[in-house]
Amino acid sequence: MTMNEQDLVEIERKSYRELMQDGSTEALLGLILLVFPGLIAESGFVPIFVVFYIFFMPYLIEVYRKRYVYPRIGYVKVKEEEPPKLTLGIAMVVLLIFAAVIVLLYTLWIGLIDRFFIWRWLPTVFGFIMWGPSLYLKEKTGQNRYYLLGTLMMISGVAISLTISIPAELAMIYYMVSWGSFFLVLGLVRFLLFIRMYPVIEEPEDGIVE
Amino acid sequence: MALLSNDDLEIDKLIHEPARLKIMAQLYVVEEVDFIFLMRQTGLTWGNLSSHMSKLEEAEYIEVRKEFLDKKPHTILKLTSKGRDAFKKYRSTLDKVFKDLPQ
Repeated sequence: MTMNEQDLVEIERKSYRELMQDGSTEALLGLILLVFPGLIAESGFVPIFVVFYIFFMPYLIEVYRKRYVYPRIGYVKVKEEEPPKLTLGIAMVVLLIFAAVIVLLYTLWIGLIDRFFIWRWLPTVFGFIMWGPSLYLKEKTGQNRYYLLGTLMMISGVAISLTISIPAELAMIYYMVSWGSFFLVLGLVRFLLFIRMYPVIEEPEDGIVE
Repeated sequence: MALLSNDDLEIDKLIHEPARLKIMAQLYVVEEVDFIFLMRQTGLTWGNLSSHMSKLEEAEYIEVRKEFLDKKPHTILKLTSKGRDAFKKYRSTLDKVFKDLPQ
């Protein structure tokens, strides 16, 4: 038995997949997407949401996992992500985003586009942004299904933006609510399957040798 | 083969045992795991895992932490830096051995 790099990558991915199969990632994403339209409508809630997300969410997730996940499949702490090093590529991307925001604000200021234009194309932008998490999850789990999810989110974003019958202000809300509901239901279904598939395992006293 | 000394090709027998290799590889790719997770991933029984765990702990390759979760004992395992280095060395030794074999 040898243990090459690919074997180790596969073991790491399997550990990540184990942790993902309870549906909590999907359910959490669904909830965030469902809350988003509210945050857009009432920006006063944004700081509350950020504080809740940063300080309370990790705690709540851990409480949930201790109660439902670890007793069934065991506990695993995956490796912490190292912050990306500031390479020329990353600097260029950041610069490009800044430039795009400045151009957008300028065109808005001179009246070339209006806020309805921005509302209309927001689902497309968000659809493209969602490629990021999709690629990340594909890399972490090795499952190609995340490509499909990223593609679907992108295509549906473009489709909603191009659907003239949907009022511009509602395009983003439709997009978020549709995907949020989908992910929430998917997460709950996966959770129920997880609970059924994995009963609680009793850990015997240490030191038992057959 | 002749260019490599015996020291270069010394394989760590503690890691080379298939069950312990599985344990070491699993611990190498994560921060830490508990007994249940490791048992499921390696396919070892409680007794087997417990016995291999003791050997690796004696060699200071792994760190075993015992705590309570909902008043039940909960065993957490983690690779020590000594264990991590030993595993890296084991892999590089095997690489050398296989690289030097004739096609």
